[in-house]
Amino acid sequence: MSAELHTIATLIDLLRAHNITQFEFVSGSTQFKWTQNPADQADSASTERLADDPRLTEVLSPGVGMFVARHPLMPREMTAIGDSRQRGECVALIKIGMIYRPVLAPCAGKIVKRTCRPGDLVDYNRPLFLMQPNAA
Amino acid sequence: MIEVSQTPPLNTVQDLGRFGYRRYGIGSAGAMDRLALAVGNCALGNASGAAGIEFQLFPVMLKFRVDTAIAITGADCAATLDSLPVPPFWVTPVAAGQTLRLEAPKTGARTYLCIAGGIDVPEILGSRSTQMRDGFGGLSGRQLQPGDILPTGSRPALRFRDSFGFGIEPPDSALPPNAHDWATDSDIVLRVIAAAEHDQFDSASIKAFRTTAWTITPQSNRMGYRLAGTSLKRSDPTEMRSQAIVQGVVQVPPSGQPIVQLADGNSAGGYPKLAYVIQADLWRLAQASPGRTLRFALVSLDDARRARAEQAAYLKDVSRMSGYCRSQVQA
Repeated sequence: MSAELHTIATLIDLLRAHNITQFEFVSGSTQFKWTQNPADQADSASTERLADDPRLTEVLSPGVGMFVARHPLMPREMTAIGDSRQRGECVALIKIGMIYRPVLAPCAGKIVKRTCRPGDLVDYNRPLFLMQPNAA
Repeated sequence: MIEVSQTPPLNTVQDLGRFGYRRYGIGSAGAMDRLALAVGNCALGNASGAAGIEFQLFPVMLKFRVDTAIAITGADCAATLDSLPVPPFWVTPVAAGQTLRLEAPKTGARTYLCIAGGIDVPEILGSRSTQMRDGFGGLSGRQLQPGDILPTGSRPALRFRDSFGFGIEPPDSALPPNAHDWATDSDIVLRVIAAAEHDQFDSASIKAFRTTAWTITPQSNRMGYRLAGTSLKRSDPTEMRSQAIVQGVVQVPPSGQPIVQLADGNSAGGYPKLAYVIQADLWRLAQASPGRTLRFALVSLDDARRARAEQAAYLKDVSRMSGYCRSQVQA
């Protein structure tokens, strides 16, 4: 059973990475159907509005790779909306093969928005979060 | 050098173990989760057998007296470096004066700290591992104490692509999970090969061993894990002479409740041997705490060799890819 879950999780990561929103597989008595939550897609419009807010700071990808919000050994995502982070604190990961690069908070502040989904392939400098910096 | 500011008992210096001396009654010792130690060393560019620290009890506080680089592997112990959280299986530069804190892991049992150049305690009988029972190896043959200073080997300084270092894929997600028809998601599945007295057990016992769940009891430590479950019986319970045994052997004492011998286990024993946990799965057992349930899946010797090859490929991949994230600073 755990082997099947591992395979399904890998498949879902791949579907997300390729922006596939619906997937159905039927073979004999086995059926697998997956639909992406429409709320995830609706997020992009509000993100663009927030990104224009000059008070917010972008948290950028350090390089090309797959965006990972939850470390495989951690029970929950490394950063939730509303979390406060110190400057230099690791808020997420970019996975390349067997390696994870850290996504670091550029300033002390509060995470107000995540701008990409787990499993997304991201480029260098792609905004991943928006932060509200602490008042100086 | 590393200063041990705070540590409970049972935390020791370990490498991959001391081999070739079992005939004299000297066990291998070494890291319980050798894969975690090896992958930490590979990520740092150390020899995979460089000595590190095995932490079994927490909290721990270490202070670094030199600029260096470390890898924290094994169980996630919510590590912080000067209050900045460090994710599990992480490699990072540290500066002299920085403090590393490790808290008790929520899952997993043992955390490892590898350091660039390794822990430089004297090598005794080919290893730096602490042999607690006989009182040699490691740091003066004993567990770490607050106030200890651990020397580290010399190594050219490392330059990191990212100032915070990089993470490595943990074995849990890098290696394929073991399959077992009756296992639940919380069970740990261990692959075993049959041992010398396997066929002396009655068929009901062999079936129970392969199909039922086994709970790790609190009487479990670096010497061995005692398991609780169905009572296993031999058809003819004749007493045996003592024979050489190795790490991973599943013995069945007269109580019928199996014992798995581990890193500090005996070099010989007279209990019948039902199976061996394959070497490639010992790390899974090392990270299992008392109360966890195990399942045993019988595999062939070829399967065991394949599992070892998969692990070797994983270490090679980590070594190769880590090279993209750190480089040696030329003197």
